[in-house]
Amino acid sequence: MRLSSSLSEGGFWRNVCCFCSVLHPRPLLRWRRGECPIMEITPFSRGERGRGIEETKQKHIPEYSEAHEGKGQRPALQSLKSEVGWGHQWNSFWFRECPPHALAIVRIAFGGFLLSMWLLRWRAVPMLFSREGIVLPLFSSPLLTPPSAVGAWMLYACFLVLLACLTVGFYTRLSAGLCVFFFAYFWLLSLYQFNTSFDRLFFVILLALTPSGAGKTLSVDAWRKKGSFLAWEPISILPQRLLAAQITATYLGVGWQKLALSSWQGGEVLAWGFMGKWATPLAFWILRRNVPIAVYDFGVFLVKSFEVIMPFALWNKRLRRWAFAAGALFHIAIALLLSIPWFLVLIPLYIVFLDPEDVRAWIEARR
Amino acid sequence: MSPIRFLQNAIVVAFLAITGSAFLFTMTRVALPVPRPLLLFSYGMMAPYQGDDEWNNALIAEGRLPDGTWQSIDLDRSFPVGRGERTIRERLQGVRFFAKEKVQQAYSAFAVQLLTHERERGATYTAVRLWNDDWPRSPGGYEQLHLPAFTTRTFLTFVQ
Repeated sequence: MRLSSSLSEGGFWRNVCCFCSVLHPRPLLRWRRGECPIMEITPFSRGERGRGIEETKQKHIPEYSEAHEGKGQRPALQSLKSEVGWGHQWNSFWFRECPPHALAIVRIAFGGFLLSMWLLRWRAVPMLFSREGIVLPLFSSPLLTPPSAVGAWMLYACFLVLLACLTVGFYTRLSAGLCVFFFAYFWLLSLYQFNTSFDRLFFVILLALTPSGAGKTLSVDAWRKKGSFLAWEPISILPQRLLAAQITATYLGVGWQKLALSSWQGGEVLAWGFMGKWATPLAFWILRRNVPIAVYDFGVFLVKSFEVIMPFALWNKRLRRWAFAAGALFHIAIALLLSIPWFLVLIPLYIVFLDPEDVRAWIEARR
Repeated sequence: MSPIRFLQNAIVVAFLAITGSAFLFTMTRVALPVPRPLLLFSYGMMAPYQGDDEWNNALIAEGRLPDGTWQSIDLDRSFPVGRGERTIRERLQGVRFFAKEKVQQAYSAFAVQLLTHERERGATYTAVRLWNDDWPRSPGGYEQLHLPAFTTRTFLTFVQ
């Protein structure tokens, strides 16, 4: 998209958009957003970017060659039209190149969050991850033999350092890959006993961040390679899409099953939850106000509505802002009432539902 | 199609297949033929807080002294975590999820480790037994009704 901006500045933009208006049902929308679809039809490799706009335009857009060199063919509209089909949309959605800013923000927010949460577990390390505690690995393996307390402290410290490296973007891919390894180790050793959705989600996020190129901007890596934290290189949108799809699937499963689960057909589940093992003093306090069950019924209705609508609202440009706000409220409420703060990390992760070009533009507008 | 694009497509298709199967499993308990560990892992991300009940529970451990009397063992030291996490760990929820048939075996392994640790700390226990306590919830507090009159105690295991 950097290239399309350059083209528009150079006066070539009008030709391209006229060309595109043949192919796309909503050319004006594209035109206003500064995203010429022709760039998606003829994706530019990294090498081509370096060779200059002039050469690239001549190679990919025959009209340009014809007008400027007096030779060349009319654009093969039919073949281009065939590319703007389902296959093109699939490729554009999952694999196009994009700025890395959205994933860089995910990296910083998620890495920082995980680092904070694991720092809070610091004192529990010998009991949870060493043979001084009661540790029952998921399966028998020499690798999963619980270490001594000192060994567990050292492994834990390594993991924290790697999380810090991931957060600041220092050897990002390597640190993210090693974080995956350490997280898997701690999960198989002991965390699986906690058996939570968010630990699985954290593993998937680490896995997606490893090859993502999330360290290609807003990172020490960018500063080392390009001399600026804000320098960037394009990355594949695939990891961002996978994360968005996973978050969608999580809300989809959580919400839609509640429509059928017998325990979620009334407010009782909320009332019992407010005096259960997760309940905070605030939840107990609310419960002791002795409010009518209708209030809990309404609470359950709100929760179910939120979780059922959320997977669709997150992808809808009109509703997205409201979905973000509702999601933030929902997860803050869970943290305050049910002492489950781990899902708070989803709030910054909603950024994966934004166009990476918009995120980049937002950041650059504030430079 | 380049090898990289082929690999990327394979990743997307595999992800969608596993996630779709997990969603189907979440809604209907029908398991499509995808690798079960992956199915369960993905299902696990769609399954938080499926329900709740009216009972609290806690693991109770007792050590047998040489004179034959039973002494309560404090488990706070073994679970330096929040109450929610502690309860789930005490119920071996992870083992129940992945291998339900191994719960009894896991409780025995738990008791053996507990006995070993207690002996290392200087206790003279000759045996350890584990119980599960269930008691009704109360707005008064988590432990409010954890009293003999309201508590059901279930035997779990005994090791020596």
